[in-house]
Amino acid sequence: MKEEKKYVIKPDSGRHLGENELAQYAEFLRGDRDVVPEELLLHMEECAWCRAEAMEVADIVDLTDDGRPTTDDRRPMTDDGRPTTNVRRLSSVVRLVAAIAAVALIAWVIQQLRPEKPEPERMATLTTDSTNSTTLTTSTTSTTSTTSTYSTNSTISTTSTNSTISTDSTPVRRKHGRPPVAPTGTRPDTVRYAQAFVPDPTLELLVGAVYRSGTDPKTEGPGPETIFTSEDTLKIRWTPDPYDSYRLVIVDNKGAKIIEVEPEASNLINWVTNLKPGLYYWKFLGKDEMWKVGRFRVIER
Amino acid sequence: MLREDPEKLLLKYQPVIRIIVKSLAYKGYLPKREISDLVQDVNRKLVERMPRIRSQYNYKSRFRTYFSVVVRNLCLEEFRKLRIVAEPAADLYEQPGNDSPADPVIIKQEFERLKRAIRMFYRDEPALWVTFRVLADLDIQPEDITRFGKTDIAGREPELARRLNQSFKKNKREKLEIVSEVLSELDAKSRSKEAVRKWFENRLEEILTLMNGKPPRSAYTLEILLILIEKAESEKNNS
Repeated sequence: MKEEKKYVIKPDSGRHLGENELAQYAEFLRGDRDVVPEELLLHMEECAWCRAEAMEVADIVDLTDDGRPTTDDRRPMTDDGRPTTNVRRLSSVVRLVAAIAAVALIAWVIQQLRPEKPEPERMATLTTDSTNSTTLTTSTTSTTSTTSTYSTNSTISTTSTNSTISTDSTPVRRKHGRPPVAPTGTRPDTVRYAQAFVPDPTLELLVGAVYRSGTDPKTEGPGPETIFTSEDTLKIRWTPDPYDSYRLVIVDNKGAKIIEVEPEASNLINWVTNLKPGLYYWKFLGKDEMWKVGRFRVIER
Repeated sequence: MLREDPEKLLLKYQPVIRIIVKSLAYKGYLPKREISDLVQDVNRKLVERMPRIRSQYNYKSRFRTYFSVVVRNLCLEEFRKLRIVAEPAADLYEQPGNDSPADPVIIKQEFERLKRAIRMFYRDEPALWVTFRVLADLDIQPEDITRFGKTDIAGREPELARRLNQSFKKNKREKLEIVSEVLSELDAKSRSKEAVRKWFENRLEEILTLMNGKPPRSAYTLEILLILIEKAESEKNNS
């Protein structure tokens, strides 16, 4: 048996991980592999530069991974990581699969030759026990019975053409001994609250971007970490160009337009932020161009 | 295919190359308007480098992963000098106001990214999770303490978890004080409250940078991370 190779940081990559090690570690981060050499883990713990690299690589692999192993990836590896060429091991698997397929085919043929039986009557019952757990039981008149139990807050509706199961549940902010919050039947506000603060990646790219143009109106608005409470005033100032016209557009964290505000003076917009809590973006637009994008959060008073 | 027919391999991985070039373009590394030209340039460079790729790939990761790293590095290397964000049209990003059905998916993906960011701190991982959960007012279980792997505190996990749970609804400073007391018992050396605060602020700053990306494409703050953790926990409990 070959001796296991020690992890060595490649000399041509200086102190940092090489492409092979980054790929290996990115797979570890993504959960594609459970184990990587201890030396690699210790290096990552110490090296902020490699951590940033690994995070970006894992993000990229998320995009490029279609979830299926490629032909090269399917090849089993030897102890030193090289793909094995053990055809005998593969052929035994192939034989087993072929045998199972043959049995299944024979079973299917026999079933086709037997006289048809009437379709068993399907029955669905919905029961609620003393602990408020809702149980959907699906059964047939023959021998099978399937039971699925959903959480305390489930509603099930069935129509003649389709069935839907929707589950509403209050987000957990539990401590020892704290019972879950009683069901309300509507989507809890706290769920929407959290969603309302998730940044929009595309708009984030534009926040603070500097555009090259001679007619930039030098827009001044709230900084990206600004927090408003409802009815605070958002102020935008700029140096106007007489040949341009300006407006302010507020969009939510999904890019949906909330409101468009016209200037009250040639170089000033004051707008009262009458908005629900969440993350919002402001876009300061000219006639043909977008001059500046900013971000602000609204929290409860 | 790598050794026998590299051209065919390159053909097969064209979607991977396009995805990476587009992704870097949308991050602001590359000009968006020239994506097809950039893909061609990357292909030309890859053909030149194929012998090197063939000799350097060590088969310890999947080829798709390794190839993605190579293409990414090649793009950054080649086009670093073109790092300009193209000016967008005014209403390009305005979308209909319906709620996106993908929200739970986004939460899941982002929480997965957070787990990765924290996992990279290796031996600090259990302490970071405990701290984040305390700050988010989420329940600490004895298993969270077991993850520290300290054999000398065996049997005391429920007590330590209970102490951490006493931080519920306290302010951030008080929560960190409680965390520091418990971490001092879990570590061989005692940690002062100030040391724990500095340690966490330090780690938090890097985790936020990792989550936001470089150049930044998100705007995570501690508060948003805590909401993300709470939301992910809620989704997990619902499923």
